[in-house]
Amino acid sequence: MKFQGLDPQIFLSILAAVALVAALLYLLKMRRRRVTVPFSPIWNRVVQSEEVNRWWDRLKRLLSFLFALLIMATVLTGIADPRPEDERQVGRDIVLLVDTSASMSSLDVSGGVDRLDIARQEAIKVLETMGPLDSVMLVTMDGQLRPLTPFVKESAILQQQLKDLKTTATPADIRQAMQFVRDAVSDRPNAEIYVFSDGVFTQSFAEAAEVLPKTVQFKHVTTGESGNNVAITAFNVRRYFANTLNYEIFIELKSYFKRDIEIELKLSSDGEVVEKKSMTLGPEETRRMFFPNEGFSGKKLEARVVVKTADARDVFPTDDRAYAILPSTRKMAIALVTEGNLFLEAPLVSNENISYSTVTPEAWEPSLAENMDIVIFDRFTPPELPEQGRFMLIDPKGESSPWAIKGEVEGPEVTKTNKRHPLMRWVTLQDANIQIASKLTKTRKDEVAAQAGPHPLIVSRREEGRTLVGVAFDIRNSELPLKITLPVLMLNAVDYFMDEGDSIVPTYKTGEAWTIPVSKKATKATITSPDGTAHDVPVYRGRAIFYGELTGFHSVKVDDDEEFLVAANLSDTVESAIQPPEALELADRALTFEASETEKVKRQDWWVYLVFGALALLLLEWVTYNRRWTV
Amino acid sequence: MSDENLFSDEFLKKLEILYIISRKIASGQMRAERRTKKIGSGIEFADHRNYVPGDDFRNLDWMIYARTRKLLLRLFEEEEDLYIYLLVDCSESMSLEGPSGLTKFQYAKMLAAALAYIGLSNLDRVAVVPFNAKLTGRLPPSRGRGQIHKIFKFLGPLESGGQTDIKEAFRTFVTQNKRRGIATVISDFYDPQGFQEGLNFLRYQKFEPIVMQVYDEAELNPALRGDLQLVDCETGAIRDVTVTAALLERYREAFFEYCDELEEFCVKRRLLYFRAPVQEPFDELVLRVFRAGGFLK
Repeated sequence: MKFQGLDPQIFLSILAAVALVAALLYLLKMRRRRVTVPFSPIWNRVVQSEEVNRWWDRLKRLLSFLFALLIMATVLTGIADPRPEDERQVGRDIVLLVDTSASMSSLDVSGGVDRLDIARQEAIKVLETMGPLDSVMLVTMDGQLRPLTPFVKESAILQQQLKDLKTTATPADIRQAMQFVRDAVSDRPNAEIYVFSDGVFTQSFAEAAEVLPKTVQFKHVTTGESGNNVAITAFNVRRYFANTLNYEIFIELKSYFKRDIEIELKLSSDGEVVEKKSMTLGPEETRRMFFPNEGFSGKKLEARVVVKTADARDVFPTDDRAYAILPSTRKMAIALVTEGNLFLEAPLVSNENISYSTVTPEAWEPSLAENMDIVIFDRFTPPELPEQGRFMLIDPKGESSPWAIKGEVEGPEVTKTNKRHPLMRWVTLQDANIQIASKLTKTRKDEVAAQAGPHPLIVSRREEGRTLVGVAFDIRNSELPLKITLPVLMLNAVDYFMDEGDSIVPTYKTGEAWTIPVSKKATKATITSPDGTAHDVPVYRGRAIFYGELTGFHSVKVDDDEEFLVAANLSDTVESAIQPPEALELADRALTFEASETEKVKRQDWWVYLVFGALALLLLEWVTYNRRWTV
Repeated sequence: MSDENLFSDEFLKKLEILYIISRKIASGQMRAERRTKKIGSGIEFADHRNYVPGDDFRNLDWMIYARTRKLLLRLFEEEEDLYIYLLVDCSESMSLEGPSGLTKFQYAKMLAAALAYIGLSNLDRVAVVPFNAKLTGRLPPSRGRGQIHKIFKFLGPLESGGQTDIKEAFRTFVTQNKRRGIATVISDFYDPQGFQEGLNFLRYQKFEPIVMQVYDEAELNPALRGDLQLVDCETGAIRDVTVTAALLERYREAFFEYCDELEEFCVKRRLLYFRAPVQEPFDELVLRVFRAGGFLK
């Protein structure tokens, strides 16, 4: 036995001093209360008859003294905090690192709901092994690292925290977790790290764990049994540039089964099934599919994959659904400001997705641009170009031209075209035979699509709130109207303008910081997750920034008026590969073990029994000596 | 209760009622015919005794002498007024006040006043003699109901104090009072030297003692517990005791034992003995005395 609270010498010294004081107190006579009686001889008679019991009284007093000594010795021993000789002197600093990533929601476990549930149970087992000197910290690990508690000795606090843990649809950031753990235990030589995880990480565990000191006890409690899963690893929908009434859907499926699996893919728009397709996926096959010319109504599109093979079970439901937002469908509105140019009107008239109108330069007002998707100025340069909108200027003139004009060039030869520029798709200008063109001055914002020597012939510019395309010559003074090039160029221009628009609504990936475009004047945004949780998020330069953790449709409300939806998917082929590894490797050590292997440290708080002993002795002393009442 | 209020009009009324009741109890007796048992020079023959030189020849029974040749003297009952001495204990122990608010001393004074009134009403001569270790005063014998106020005036200012010494006090009493009579001793009899010798003194000197032991129920059941130092109120003697329930029970037994000793002493000597707890109304006690006989002759 050893004393943890007091040094043995100090303990003995105090005990001797206390015993001495007790002895002195017993030697002192207690001052009795004086009471006047009318006739003491009667009392004398009674007390004299008691004299025969005096030896017993003396014995009781001696016993009381011995009891007092014993009580004080017991209490002092309790204060000295005695411990078994073999009990550990120094406590452990335990870090419970619980994986709450998406793969932990897999259902391939027995004895629990999902992998996280098993991890939770194993963590509680570790808590039960804690000794009085041990301290513990609880940290969760998914896309983000969350230390839920500092190092505490009260393990009961952690039990409720463990019960409240939930998985997120994000991959685990094991590298960040290891760095955190290293910092947390840097000044704790008796640290023990328990990782409760299925071992499914998007980063290399061995590399991540290299930051840990070699002396740290590191244990991995594994969970999960199977890797059977079919995932939707990519999903999105776009509206055609030219045909704004129809959609094209892209979907990527990945099977993690080791054999052929029959599946059924369902597409739903606003809850209504609009497409259903059965297929067979080969072993670990990745299949990409397009669904062209799909016509839907509604806003929300959901894809769901269901395994149909009778003896197969998809154990990871998080990646069985994918979500997308349908771009709005409508005809493009184009205004042509011209004195009259049938060559330009022809390609616009022929496109059924375009609603166009012509305006004479005299009738032009900047307010007309507000209701138009694109405004084409033909040989007319408005005195003041609106701040917002998409504008194509053909043969701009004068000082109001967005490009400064420094004279004219006759018979310019096209010397260079930018084939990668969207305007130049399927367009050739080699034999355009342009008679005369303006010398446009290129700025840093401009991207030249075609040029004649140093002079830009076709140029584009994207600037704050405005997109411009400039053509440096009058098309009538070229052979373009006689070629297929003109309608193609016009349609390319339309596509170029609309490409930056709403033909596709981005789908976000969980486990990443989303930058959601909102109004530039917006000051705040509130994002409501699919589970109903509302988050106030910061808005920076017209973008709301939010770390998304759940798949599904999120509602974004900006400044309490504008509200729209965004979709989020897991879309992570590595996180969907939920097959747990046999064992994690750290240097040359395998780390997987069962929590029950940990030696259970019993709490040896003997002082509690000593306190009860002292109370029992006190009671005994009262019964034998002090059992009386004073009035 | 203050001593000034002891003998109020209400008290007098009670005494009057007591007197009427006493008349009924002693019916058939004539006023002023209460006689002592003194043998002397009365008219009514009582007994014979042998002649001794110095006796009055006139009382020799010549008829007897003629028949038997023996000189016998005729004795007659001497008719004289009855003397009632009320010996009231005024020691310190009588002054301890119990929960009732009435001290034993006050009770004793009321009792003495009641008995005095009855005696005076019967035309007896009543004297009041307070005592502790000695006689602390004396109201000479007086006669007639009108003297009751004199007795009240004497009893009222009496104060208690000092130790009890019955033997010494009664020795002095006997010496000072040659006329024999009823000696009613009203006391708690808390005398460390004992009560026997004092009472015997009265008996031996031809007094007829009536013993009235006054006590308080609170003395019987003291509200004491724990480690105490008991101080005797008269002697100042100190005793350390640890009072427990068992000890209290034994104390009660000892108390009754003490009372029984006094009673036994009286009964064996044919003395009237009354136990008078202060909780008992004094008039009831007086009636008890009447019914026992002896006080009213």
